[in-house]
Amino acid sequence: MALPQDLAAPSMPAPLGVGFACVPELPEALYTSGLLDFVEVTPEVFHREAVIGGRLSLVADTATYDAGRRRCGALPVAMHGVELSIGSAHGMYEPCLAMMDRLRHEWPFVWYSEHLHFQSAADGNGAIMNTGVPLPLPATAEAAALVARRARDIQQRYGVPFLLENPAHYFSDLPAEPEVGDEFGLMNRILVLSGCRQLLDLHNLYCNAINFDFDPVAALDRVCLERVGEVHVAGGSWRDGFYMDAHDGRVPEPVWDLLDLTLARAPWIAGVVFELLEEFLPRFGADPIARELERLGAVWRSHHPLQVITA
Amino acid sequence: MAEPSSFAGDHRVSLSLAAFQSSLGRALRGEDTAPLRADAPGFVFTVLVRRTWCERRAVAAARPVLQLVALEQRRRLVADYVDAGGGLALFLPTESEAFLPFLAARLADPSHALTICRMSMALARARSAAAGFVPPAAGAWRGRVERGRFASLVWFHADPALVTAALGGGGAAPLGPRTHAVLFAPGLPDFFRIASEDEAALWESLPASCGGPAPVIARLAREGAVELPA
Repeated sequence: MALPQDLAAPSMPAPLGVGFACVPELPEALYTSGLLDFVEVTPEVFHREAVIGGRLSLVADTATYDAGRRRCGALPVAMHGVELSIGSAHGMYEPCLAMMDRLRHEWPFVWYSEHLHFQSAADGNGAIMNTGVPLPLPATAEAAALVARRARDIQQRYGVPFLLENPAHYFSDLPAEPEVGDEFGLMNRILVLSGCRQLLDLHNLYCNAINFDFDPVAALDRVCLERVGEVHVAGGSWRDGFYMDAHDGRVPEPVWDLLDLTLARAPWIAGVVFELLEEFLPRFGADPIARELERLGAVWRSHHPLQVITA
Repeated sequence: MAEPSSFAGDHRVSLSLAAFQSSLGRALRGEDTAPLRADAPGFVFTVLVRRTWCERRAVAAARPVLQLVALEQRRRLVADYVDAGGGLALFLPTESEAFLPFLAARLADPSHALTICRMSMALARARSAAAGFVPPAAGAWRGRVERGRFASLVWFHADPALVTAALGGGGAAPLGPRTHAVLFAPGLPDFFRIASEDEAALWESLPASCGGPAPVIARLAREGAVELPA
């Protein structure tokens, strides 16, 4: 699917290549071995909540923050937030933006991504409740307009591309307006209205395809590939008849196939990231991570021969 | 195979975004407000996933304490906490702040688990004040001594080294009378140190009026363990 380009929007940087999360507990060699071209930093991991001057803020947890910065070394950094809750109707989690304001100067980043979901809502008694899990948005014009306005403001605020990640979820009967259609229609409408880009999580797409019985390859035609700036791949697992986006292991073969197809058709992808939840690191181990990154690098290079020649 | 969509079909929109989100969030925590079919497998599974996430967050927020609790009791404590609305914090230290007092009120007293629980709370309290901590200026003494607002004294019922070794997989230390006092304060390097008998006795006696700034009080004040209100 093609969408009009927003010429005023910041461009993605020149292709970087393969990325992985910033995990200070992993061996430094993983980050200096040449397997990685950039680091994806989840800034919330290095912060904690604190009330300062009567306002809830996010303050750096000095020891882990410094360790995280050291771990990134000289590699470019892409920020991947997890707590903004950009789709919450009552408002976003504002301390995240204040944190990003500070990080823009302290820990510069080439782009900033967040998830297209909500994880807080009014509780019916005048308070705000955390939902406990990230939840998908209905495919409505109201949801699209709300997120697009916020995404556009964020992109302007930081002057770097802002990307939204497509979510995995398990609801088959989310509300949808005919003019928006479904999750693909919602994402595309937001991209048009905001001038932002998509972080295409191929494992999330794969999960939804399995759980809702649709063809993930055909679904790629519904993704605006010219607006995809980054790709995530990951592994998952089965539970109670659902395939979960668990980030707990190797990338399944169908997701590798989807990656190949995506890289062949999406012209502005600057990076591909293998995701693994930190709690599974001890069981998975550094060597298997390195092998997934090697394979990711090989796929990336097969689609970026010029980058290989000029390296 | 269906259309490439996770929610292809006619699913009418009858609620505003805010109302939909509020209804869904409340339904997932057990209220009868579901804006979607609450008996649909995907809804039921999301409730299960939410529960797992809450329990996982709780466990991560109090891991050292729970390590010293028998498996069955551990499961019950976590389940009770989540049943009471816990496990929803966005940040682990915030979750710890809520879960540790919950555990402290329910753990056997004395027990090594309770000691580690109190230690975790004391450490967090001292650390939270470290950035803004300024030792009192000399001459601020007015004759009254109080416990530092961000300081704590935690009693161990065995050698602290043995108790913490149990966290690393060492054997459980026998539970004896309280023998070792550990002081936590925002001005201490690493926020803690073993307290001397004099210091522990002084701490237990506070707040108190004293005739003069003895060296032990001056030292504790510099560490943020006691305060000398002007």
